[in-house]
Amino acid sequence: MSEIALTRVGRLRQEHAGGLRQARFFAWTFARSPSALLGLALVTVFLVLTLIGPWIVPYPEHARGAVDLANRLQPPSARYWFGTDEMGNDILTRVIIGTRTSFWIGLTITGLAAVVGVPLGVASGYFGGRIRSVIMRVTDVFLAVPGLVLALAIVAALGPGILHGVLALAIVWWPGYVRLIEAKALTLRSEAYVEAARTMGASHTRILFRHILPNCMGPLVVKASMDMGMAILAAASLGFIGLGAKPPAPEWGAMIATGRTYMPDWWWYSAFPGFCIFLTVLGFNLFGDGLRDTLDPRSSR
Amino acid sequence: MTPLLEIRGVTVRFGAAEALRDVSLALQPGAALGLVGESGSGKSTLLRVLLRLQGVAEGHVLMDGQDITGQREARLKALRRDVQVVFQNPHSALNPRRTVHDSVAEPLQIQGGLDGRAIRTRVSRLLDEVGLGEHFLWRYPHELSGGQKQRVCIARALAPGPRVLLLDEPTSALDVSVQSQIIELLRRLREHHALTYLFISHNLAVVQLLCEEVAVLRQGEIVEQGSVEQVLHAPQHDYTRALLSSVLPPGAYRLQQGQAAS
Amino acid sequence: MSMIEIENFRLAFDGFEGRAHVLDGIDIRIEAGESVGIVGESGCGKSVLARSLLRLNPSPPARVVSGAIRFEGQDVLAMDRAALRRLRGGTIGMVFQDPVTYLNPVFTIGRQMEEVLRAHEPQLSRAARRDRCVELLEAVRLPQAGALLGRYPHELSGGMRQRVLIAEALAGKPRVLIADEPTTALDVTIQRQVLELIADLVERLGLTLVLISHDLGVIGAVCRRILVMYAGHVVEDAPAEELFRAPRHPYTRGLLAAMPDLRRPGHMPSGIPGSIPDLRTPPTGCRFHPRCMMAEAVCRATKPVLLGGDGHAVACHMAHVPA
Repeated sequence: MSEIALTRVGRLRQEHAGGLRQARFFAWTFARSPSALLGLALVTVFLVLTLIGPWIVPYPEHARGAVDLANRLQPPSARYWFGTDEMGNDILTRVIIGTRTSFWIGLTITGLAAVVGVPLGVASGYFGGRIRSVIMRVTDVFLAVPGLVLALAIVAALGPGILHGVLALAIVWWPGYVRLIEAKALTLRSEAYVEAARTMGASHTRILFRHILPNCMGPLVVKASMDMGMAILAAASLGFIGLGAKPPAPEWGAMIATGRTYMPDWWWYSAFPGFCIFLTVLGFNLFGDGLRDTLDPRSSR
Repeated sequence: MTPLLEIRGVTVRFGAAEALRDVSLALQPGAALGLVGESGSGKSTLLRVLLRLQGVAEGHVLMDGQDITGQREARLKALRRDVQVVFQNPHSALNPRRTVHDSVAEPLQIQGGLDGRAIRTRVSRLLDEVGLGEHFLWRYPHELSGGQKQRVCIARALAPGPRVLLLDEPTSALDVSVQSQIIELLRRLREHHALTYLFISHNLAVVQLLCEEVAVLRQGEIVEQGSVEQVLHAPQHDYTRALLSSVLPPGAYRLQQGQAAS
Repeated sequence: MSMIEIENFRLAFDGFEGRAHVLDGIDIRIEAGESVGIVGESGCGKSVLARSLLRLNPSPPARVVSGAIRFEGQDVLAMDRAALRRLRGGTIGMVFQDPVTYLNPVFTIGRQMEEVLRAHEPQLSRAARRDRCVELLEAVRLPQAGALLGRYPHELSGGMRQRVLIAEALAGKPRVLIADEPTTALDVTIQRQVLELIADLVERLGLTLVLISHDLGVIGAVCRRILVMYAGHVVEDAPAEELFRAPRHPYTRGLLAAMPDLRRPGHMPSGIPGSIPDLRTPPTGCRFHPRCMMAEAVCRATKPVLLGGDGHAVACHMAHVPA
């Protein structure tokens, strides 16, 4: 089979055949778990709502807090599927728009935490020695303080608002990534193919980017998926105690907080946002679990 | 003749334990030296000392007569090109996320000087030399058998055009029918490329096939060294004799305590 | 009635991209007191077969397609949980390859052995159990057995750990011992000692032995009868001397030719061309035919049956043709 005879497409297909087969295998393994599929479904719904939410909501003007006192605190009905809040806003609309807020909150927290935590973890695990000591000490300090308390302190210092809440949580979150990636990098360092690379004269940079990092992706992706859910929950918790998003921003936690004063008679106000948090976190957890089972072939092949 | 690669009086300590004690070994150009040792003998440490992946408490490592013991990585370029290793376990010696082509191309990429197309041609030729067809180029390690993976490792080791191959139990993890194919391949490559081999194995019969000289390592010390005929057929040291009497040749006999009665 | 009867046993593994036919019609009879070796290379199914005797293959993805396994007339595949538990360890003891993973690192040796005893001889008092543990450890020639009971697995060498595993396998006073690559992970000098021990125990206790290995040297040293397996089939079944002297199956001949022999320095072993087939799409007819020098049309068409009247059976259409 000479180079000239193969078309460009043919060559590409040949090069990536193995990768495609891998992808199919992952999909097949993933699909064998009903809970993983449920997680995938929930996460997909969540992402779809994030994307097209603003265009499908029944009452777009309610998203930012219009006032329609005539319809305040209406129970769930055909007109208002989730009922209305004390300003007359449709809760369904606000919940759907809130999906967007939750998405970028979760993504930012997880993203920032990973961007900071992964390099530190890789450096710590791969280089060891003094670098590791320093990084571990710093990480230990952050881990010693309970997450939410630290976040509270930071937000209290910076002032309330979603942005500060997200920043605070990202600062709390990164040590987890360091720990996870460090453990993986440590085992990878003594793999035969890493030693082989060293005997070829590979620089540390090359080894890190070509051999260590790609093989850390598995645990990283699993953790990031599960963290999305937990980060959203944490942000909602901040919102709940009034240190995150401020009304009338349609953030789930803030909605639950405001709705608390209307419990139990106007239960739908807190219940539906709460239920959405539950479904979202559940979805990401199940999805992350499914990913872990797929990427970690402990189950029989 | 100046040995290609040599260690003199090397002692390596891990804490209080001595993995190697005053070990001297020389690889003459063109030689095929066998190193026999069981677990705990220090053979892995010795290998890593030769590759300069392990520091020494005492002694020297020399290449072409030059002392490279204390040298920094940046100055070891010649070593990294001229001395290559094939590991025991083919299953962990290849990055699972890289195709065969990428793994074999890596030493060429590190060396530099070749563009993508030239590298691909070189890789194809190397794979051909180890008996693997073009369709293996884009396979992933998990799609290969043990023997095929080991061939890929050999191709990778040959890529930078080394003078010395350090073979760490290259056939121990393979089936016996595959083992002989690999041994035949190694013989052929040695002739073809005028290579020098250090062949580490606990399997004396295999050492006999491939090597001319053999050294026996026990708990960090070389207890016997000489030609294959001398060491394997007229051993001097008790340990060597014990090793030889533990070999179970193919055949039906009854094992009795102490000796085998046919 | 033979002690162990495996009749037309077929087992498959369901996985990605299809079903692998790992065992394809195994027929074996083992009488009480025999020392049988099963030899084959990776993927031949020997370990799966050994585990099937005790139903140890995880059941998805493993699936018994057809056939029967009988132990002293009892159907192993149909046994209830209680009977199976009595069988495992009680009637049939099993020793595996890697002592590191088969001993729990957080329990002392004594504790682990006592657990085995408690399962199979619950009537023993604490003191009697301890005595029996010491007895077992001495039977496998471990020195200072009493002190050993208080040690942890990591304090023992590989050879010692394997002896402990053998002792555990014998704890329930089994009549059959299955050893799956018992010495592969051990050093050469220790390997010989452990094999001598196994041979000795088998003789002294009158055990039936099934020894599995990829190493014909190991098998020849201990077993009187050898079964050669390839890609899920038994291809040859002969007394050990005969197998080495006059092998009849091309694969067996290939295996023997591939073994390096210290006693023959000039002799270069030959490999077997090709590689083991993908068991999801195995070759038609004889599974060895793609690699066989002597293959003819009939070999591609029909699966050969294990035949032979003189105690030496072979599954090959070309068996009558001289080598």
